[in-house]
Amino acid sequence: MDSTTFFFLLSLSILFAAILGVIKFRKMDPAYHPFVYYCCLAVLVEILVYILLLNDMKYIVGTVYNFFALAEFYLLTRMFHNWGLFKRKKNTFTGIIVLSFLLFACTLYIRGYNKINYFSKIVNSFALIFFSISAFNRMIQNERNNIFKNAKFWICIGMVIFFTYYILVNTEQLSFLNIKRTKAFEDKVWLINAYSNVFVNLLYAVAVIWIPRKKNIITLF
Amino acid sequence: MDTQEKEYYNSLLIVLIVVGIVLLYFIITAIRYQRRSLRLHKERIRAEIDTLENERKRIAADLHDELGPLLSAVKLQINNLETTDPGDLQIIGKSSGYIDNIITKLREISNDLMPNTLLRKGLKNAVVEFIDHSQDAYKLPVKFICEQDLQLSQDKEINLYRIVQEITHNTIKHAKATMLIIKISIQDDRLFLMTADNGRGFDYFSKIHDNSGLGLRNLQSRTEVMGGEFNCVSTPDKGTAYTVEIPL
Repeated sequence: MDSTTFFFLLSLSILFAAILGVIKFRKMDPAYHPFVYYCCLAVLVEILVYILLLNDMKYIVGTVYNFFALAEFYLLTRMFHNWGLFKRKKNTFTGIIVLSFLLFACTLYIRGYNKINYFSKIVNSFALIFFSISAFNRMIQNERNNIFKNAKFWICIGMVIFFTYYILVNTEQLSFLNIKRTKAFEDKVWLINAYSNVFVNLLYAVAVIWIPRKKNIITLF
Repeated sequence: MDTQEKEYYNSLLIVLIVVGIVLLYFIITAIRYQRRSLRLHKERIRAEIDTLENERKRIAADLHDELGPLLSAVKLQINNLETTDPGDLQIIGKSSGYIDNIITKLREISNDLMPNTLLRKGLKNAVVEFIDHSQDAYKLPVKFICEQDLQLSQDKEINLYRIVQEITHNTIKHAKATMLIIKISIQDDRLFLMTADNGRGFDYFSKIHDNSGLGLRNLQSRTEVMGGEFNCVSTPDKGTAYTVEIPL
């Protein structure tokens, strides 16, 4: 099996979370909808990238990953906003998204459209780690039930692990560090990313299982 | 891979392992502290609620069993006074009327503190009685829906009754509503207490954040003690809906 197919199969581990999310979608708390969209989008992007690589269209992969990174940041930040992390202030949420988009646009303009925008992705990863840690701390303080049955717990842990590893592994890709790389080295580094991705995808699947049901509210008026 | 890449790769692996261990330690300690704080929190809330309810029971019993008979005795003594003076008779009549009012008020206070109906006939009847009383006193139409028989422990009955009381008082005091609906139902070993009003609503999260919603915290605490979940959905000018879901 070639490395492309191997990495593709590992990345499909997000399917568990996506399928469970789609099954539970109508009955779940709407605050978690962005997370299910994120899982489904990840599945679509992995399939699309695999098809592109099989058809020797590697030059488009960077663009696909860049726009996925932007959508990923929007959806996950939206989820934190729904959880009340920004004190439910829409302006804070909009401000963060606009800043992220501006950074993305600037770095894309400087580096070119076809290359993966690592700088923007790493900055976004830092932001998502901080959001996850804040949400985790709030949950530790406020959660009154078994923490293992809380979807936020698994999502936050998954995100902290994934984005921390992502930053550590991909910092060497930043052009200003000027590190020379061979294909063998890149494959080994990608393998670390792929394994951490599989682990986190399984955590996400557990998280989807524990997503709370839609609140029972009487709508009589 | 050349030597430099190998060195870089090995360093990267070491960093990842160290970060992994730190993350694992952080998560394990956070979970342990959360569990300890949760246990302490539940014990504290339970103790507070138990103390409060015991104290209410004691005061209600003292008012009803000691002050009530004493006032009746005073009234009897006053009515037994032998006088033909119209001024004295008027004073005796007025005093007797005041004592009647005091006795009625005492019964009401005693009943508010710990309703006899709740202890003797259960939650459903107590809520019906409370709603009837509230409708008469505050002119707020309240619709109560409960189609099943409720077999609950006394602790749960008391907590649910207090929740209904608190929500009704909040609606009367703050909501400016013209209708309140209270529904209790049992589905799959879970009890749902749901309420909805058509009042002016409020911003739930800012109330909780500003720490001004003591009544809301009380509702949350009582639900937590029963191992349940409490939800409130309120939008300015669109009314308020509360849901309490507890395991049976």
